[in-house]
Amino acid sequence: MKKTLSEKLKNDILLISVLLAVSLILLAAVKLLSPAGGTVLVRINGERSESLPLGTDCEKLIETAEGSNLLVIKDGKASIEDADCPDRICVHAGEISRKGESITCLPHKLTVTIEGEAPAGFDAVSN
Amino acid sequence: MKNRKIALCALLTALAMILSYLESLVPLSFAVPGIKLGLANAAVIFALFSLNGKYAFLISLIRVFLVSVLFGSVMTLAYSFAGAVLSLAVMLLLKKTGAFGPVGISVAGAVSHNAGQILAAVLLLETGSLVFYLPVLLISGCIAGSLIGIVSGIIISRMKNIV
Repeated sequence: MKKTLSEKLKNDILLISVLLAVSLILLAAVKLLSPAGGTVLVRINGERSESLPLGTDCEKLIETAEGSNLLVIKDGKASIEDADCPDRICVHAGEISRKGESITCLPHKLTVTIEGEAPAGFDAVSN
Repeated sequence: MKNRKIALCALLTALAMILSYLESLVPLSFAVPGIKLGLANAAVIFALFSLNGKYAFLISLIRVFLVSVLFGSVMTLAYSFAGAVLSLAVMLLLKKTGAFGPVGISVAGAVSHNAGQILAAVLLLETGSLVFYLPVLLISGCIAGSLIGIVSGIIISRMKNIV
């Protein structure tokens, strides 16, 4: 049986609503359930350049061959506060704090990733 | 009649390719990679409604193959195929039910395209953390899919007498 146009439109809207609801629930679940990270790993051109603890507040100007980005760690969250790249997508990306989250600055070939659990015990041993 | 359809099919494939190319010129990268408008899907949805599923399938796969060969790499081919095949399967299925219009089908296609690409990336790169991108991509897929669906719907009704 062929449905009329308005019936189809109603189904379309229902489908979109369900998808949006599911994605919002997933978004909330990812934000809440994903484990908090411990270290902030900075990679330039794919190579590890810096590894900073997420627990200690600091500001660091990261110089790459293409330009610089100001990495700020505050209250267990990392963000790029300032950068001289043309698109400044990294600055707009906001704060990250959960394991696996990352900020990318393509023009500077820079990525900032949150890694693993707080390395406190491990560091005590390895030091 | 058949020749006419084949010609139209070729025309739509060419159109889908140009739309993909145009889209690659205007990168829409916000916080998450993979966010895009999916302009080429308009041609596929048009084929799905005005021709049939078989033609839509052909147009999409040929488009993905040619665009990857011309403008991309083997890796983009793998991602795009995963996205396109899943997206087509979902769109064909929903079209078969007869319950949805172009907007719903376009949204379902967009969302499953994103899901297919994430799945391919997770399998190829072996990084489960890419799943974090999924919710954001679902939302962007809903928005982009709706826009493309609305445009496709208008084109389908305008072209009814010509095809």
